[in-house]
Amino acid sequence: MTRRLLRALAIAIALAGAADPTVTSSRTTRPVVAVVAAAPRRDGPLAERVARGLAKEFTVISAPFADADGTIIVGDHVPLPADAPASPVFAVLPDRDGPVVTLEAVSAPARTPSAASVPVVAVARVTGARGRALDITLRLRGLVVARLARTVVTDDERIPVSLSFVPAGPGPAPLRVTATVAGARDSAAADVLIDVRDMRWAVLFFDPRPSWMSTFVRRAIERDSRFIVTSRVATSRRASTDAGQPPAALDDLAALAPFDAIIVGAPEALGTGGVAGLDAYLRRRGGGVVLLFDRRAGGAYERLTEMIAWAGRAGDRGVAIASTGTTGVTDSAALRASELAWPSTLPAGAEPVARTAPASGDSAAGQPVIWRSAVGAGLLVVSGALDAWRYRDRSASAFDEYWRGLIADVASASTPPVALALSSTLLEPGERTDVIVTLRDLALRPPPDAARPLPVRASVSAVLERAGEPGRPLASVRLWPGAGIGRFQGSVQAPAAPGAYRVVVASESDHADAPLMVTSGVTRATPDARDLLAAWVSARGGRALPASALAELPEALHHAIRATPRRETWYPMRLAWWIIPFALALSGEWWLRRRRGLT
Amino acid sequence: MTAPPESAAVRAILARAARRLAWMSAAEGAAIGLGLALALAAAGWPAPGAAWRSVFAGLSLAAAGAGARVLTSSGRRRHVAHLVERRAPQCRNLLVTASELLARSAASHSTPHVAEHVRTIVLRQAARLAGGLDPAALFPARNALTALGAAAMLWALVVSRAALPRAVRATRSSQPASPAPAASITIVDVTIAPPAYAAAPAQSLRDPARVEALVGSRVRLTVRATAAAVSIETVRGRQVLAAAGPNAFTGELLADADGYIAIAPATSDGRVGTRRLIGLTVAADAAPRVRLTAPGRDLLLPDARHTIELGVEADDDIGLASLRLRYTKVSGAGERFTFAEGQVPLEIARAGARRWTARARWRLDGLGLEPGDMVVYRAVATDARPGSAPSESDAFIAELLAPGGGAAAGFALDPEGERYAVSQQMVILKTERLAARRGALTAAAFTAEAQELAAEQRKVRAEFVFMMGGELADDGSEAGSTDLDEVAEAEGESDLAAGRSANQGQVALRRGIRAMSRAAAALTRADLALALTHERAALAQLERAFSHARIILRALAQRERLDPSRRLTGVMTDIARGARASAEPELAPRVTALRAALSAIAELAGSPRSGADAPERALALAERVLRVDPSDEALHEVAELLATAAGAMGRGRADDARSSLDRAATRLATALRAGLPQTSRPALPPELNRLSGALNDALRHPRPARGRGGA
Repeated sequence: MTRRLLRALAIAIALAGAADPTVTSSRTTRPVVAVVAAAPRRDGPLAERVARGLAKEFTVISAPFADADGTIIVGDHVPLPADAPASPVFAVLPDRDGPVVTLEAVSAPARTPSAASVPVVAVARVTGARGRALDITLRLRGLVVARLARTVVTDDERIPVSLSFVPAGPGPAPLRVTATVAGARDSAAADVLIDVRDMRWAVLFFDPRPSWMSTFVRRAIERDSRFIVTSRVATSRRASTDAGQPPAALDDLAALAPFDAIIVGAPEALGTGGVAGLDAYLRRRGGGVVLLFDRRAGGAYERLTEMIAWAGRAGDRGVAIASTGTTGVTDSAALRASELAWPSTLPAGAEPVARTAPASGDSAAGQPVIWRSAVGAGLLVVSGALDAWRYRDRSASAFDEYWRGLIADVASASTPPVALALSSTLLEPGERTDVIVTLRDLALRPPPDAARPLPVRASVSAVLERAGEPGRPLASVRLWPGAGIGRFQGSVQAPAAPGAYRVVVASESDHADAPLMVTSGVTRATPDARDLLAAWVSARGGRALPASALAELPEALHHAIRATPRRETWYPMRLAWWIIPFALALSGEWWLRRRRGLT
Repeated sequence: MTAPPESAAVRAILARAARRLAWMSAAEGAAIGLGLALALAAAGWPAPGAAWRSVFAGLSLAAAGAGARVLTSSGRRRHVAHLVERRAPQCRNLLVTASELLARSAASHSTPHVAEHVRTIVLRQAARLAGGLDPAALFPARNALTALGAAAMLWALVVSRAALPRAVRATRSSQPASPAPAASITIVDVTIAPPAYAAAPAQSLRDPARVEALVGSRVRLTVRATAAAVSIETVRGRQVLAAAGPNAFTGELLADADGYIAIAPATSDGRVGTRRLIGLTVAADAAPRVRLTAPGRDLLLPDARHTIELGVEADDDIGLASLRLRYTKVSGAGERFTFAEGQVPLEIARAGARRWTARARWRLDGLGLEPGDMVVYRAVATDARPGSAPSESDAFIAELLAPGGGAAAGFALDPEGERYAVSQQMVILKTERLAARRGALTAAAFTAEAQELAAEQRKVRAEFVFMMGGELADDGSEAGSTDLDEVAEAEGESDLAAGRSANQGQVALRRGIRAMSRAAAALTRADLALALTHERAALAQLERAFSHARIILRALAQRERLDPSRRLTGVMTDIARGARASAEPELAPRVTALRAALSAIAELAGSPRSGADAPERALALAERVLRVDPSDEALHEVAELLATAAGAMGRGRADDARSSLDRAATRLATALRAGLPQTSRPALPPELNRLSGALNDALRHPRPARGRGGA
């Protein structure tokens, strides 16, 4: 009997193994959660604490994990890259005990002429430091070159400050903004790189008739080393006074293209050809045009300005004109004029650049005497300060400084033949940055006819080379066509060796380059986006918790993660352990047979 | 009982041996004491530099060691006979026996148990034996003396080193390896002696960072320095100070311009030590200010029988030296003028050295003035500064009315007043009176009177147009009379810009004329309210013109009328298309120099610890900054901070040096910022510019809405 049973068991195991049956069951497992530090360096310790706290009830993965049952963000901002974390997403916000200062933003022009002071604007957020002193310094390679002190007024305050950097010479200037609050444990810092160059803007002054306004503005610009001035003053129909090699007329775009800005005196004397040339210059060159009126009169220029009518005022008393702050020109650099003209209604999309002083006491109060408007990719500025030149004395106004600043703004806004932009110019070794290249002639060409599309041909290349070693590329940067005609994008990886590098882009005869500084310990502004983070996690089924309420997190997670039983299919006969009962059954059956003398 | 001679001999030899052992012990003890002193000196006691302490300590320890050793060896010496026996075995205990016999006899004066003859024999033989013994041979002192000598020599060496001055020791110790120490400045005393005319006391300063002196002061420097020579460098040059005793140097310089004083000590081999920088600010002696307070205006007099009450005020920052009233009498007409100079005696009241007032009654009838003549008078003051130019007040005119020189019709002349202003004031007065009588007049009469006033206003205006040389010619039309000739006015701008017409009077006068034109136009329309506004504006401009530049009245007088015959006589063929040279940008050497200095500070701050020449570089940089503009207070501050940084570097305080460099860089950047424009705003990406333009196009030229079925 036993022998048969053993035999049957062995046969049954063999048959079951051959059949390989499947079993489906419903099971509930420990949820998997991913814990991600928004700023690993700063939030790492808290993230570890969160992971330890969750380890008893959850399977914790301290990294982004798309297949997790939930994600915990530790920090006060959305981590980058924030590509589709596993939902629900919870956030653990670091506690703020005592005074805390962060630099939410630091902005500075990526490129500047060396003969100018550069504003570096920083926004510091200070919490829990009411009445304390906030000290903000700007350092160039460790040397303090600017310093500001403010007193914190409220418990949670955003303090924007503008520090001024004066370049000592051309070259990349790595700057660090540091914010310190008296009594705070930590300070905040952010790095920024400014490319200081001995750059000069090419400016054309074109007067279809002599104009004092244009003459005195030109004199102010000529005395500024940031500009190269070419001028043409038509003194009669066939006579003119030239400086440099100006174009004979404004109707040839190719002749206008080398100039970053064109200043037209007495624009009412322009003909239709000249206005058409300026329109092409604005739209297809992306340049800047400044119209300096010295009297109210109609003309072909109205096609550019698209004004309905002029309004004006003439008196014997000069009226102060103050900048509206829409340009880099400061309010202190005000003009004064007694004869004024302004559009009765600003054209759609136009914005005032300078207004008359509100207290002027007549109809001219608060009028947009100088205004600007985008025309195509270019910028048009119209001045109705008709006799501002009469008040050019320094005691009366800042005539020279104002026009220098305004024309510098217009010229710098001009589109270069090759525009190169890096998403970040200060990198850690091995870090990547995006490279965006725009070829002006392609990007600004007229839209092709849908019936007869024109082929687009472009040649562009980009390389990474060490600063000071031109022509010896370290690596080539692959550029791909981007969004829009004439736009290319790529990515470059910072070399392992710290130092100064340049990304150089060439397209036919034009080229552009941008500095790239590779250094360890780069600090960046960290915007305190708690509200944004709270909304972001709320949209993903979670909520934001302060670190002090960390004990609530497991329960909240359990609540949010639906512990649905998981159906699992398994194959019982695929276990290797079956060989043991199988062998024992066969051996036992064989032993019993031998014992009874059977073979 | 007398001692036998044998016993004396034995005692003598034993005493000699005991004494020898005693001083040998003393020598050993002294050597030990000196050894202890050496050990203590090596441990730093007493402190180096106090030689007498070292000597006293060494001798004390030696004496103490000797005494202690003598005391500790006293028991040994009591058995000196044994010691002798041990060193001289041929004595065969005889000396010990004799010593004991002598000791017993000394104790009891008898030796009952020793027979006398035995005692005698023992002593005799012992005496005989002792005669052949030499304590020096028995107890050699060589080792003790050698130890004492060696310890004494070492101790003397240590004491002598401690007794030498530290500087000498350092010099001697470093002689084989390095040259003599660098020169250094200890104290700088500055005495500022103002010029004698200032009558101010001298001022003394010690180690100043900056010196402020009146121009012409003598600045005397007394420098105490460890150096062979000391020189000073200023913006004027270099000067070697004279030696005025050991480590003292003096020199003197004249404070005539802002700058600095760099004091440099040097060693005999020409090596320059750390320099000291002192900023020098020289205050200028301002010229006296003098004003004619009475009558304070020009006078047009009907005749010469007139007395002018004159009042003069003068002040000076240091002290006035003289105050006079001078006049020039101008006689004649046409092209025949005669000029005569004279002086009016003044009654001066001195409120102090700095402020004087004066009065005078000036009778003109003594001058022999004829109708049409004039006197131009002004006050002249001088201060005590030698060679200084006298200061003059504004000049005023007293003119005798010439026959036929009365006002034109409608020109109301007031001989005592501001004649031009008053004439306009009369127009205003008449206009106000007319406005007051408006209710009593018919409309036609009111308009007629207003138009008469308009004619009067035009005549007053014509006087001023005439005075300006006829450039504002009235073409008779109202439209023309209300506008200036823009071209003519603009042509004058270049002269104004160039400073050739450094007055605002012309501009004000032109504006006044224009306001008169508007007033005349308003009066013609019988709009009295508007007319009054323009009349008052004209009066304000006239007053402004005459207060700013009185020369207008004289420069554009009737005698200097323009010659119309010369107009349009140039060569017209020279007019052609021409090229104008491009203007070169303004060079700003100050900005360039300060930017270079800022760069140098950044370089210096990059390695404040490295480089022994860092302090010198910082001082040189401070001098560079001061040279840029010695009169700039901000640059003085930068230089002081750099000098402070140099001092901190020299003392090895890197943190202090860095802090000073930070402050210097921040201050220098602030000073630089004032001379630089602010950079333009960052340009937007091209696609954003294009998008903005497209949006404007769409807003201004909206496409017509298409019908449902399409077009």
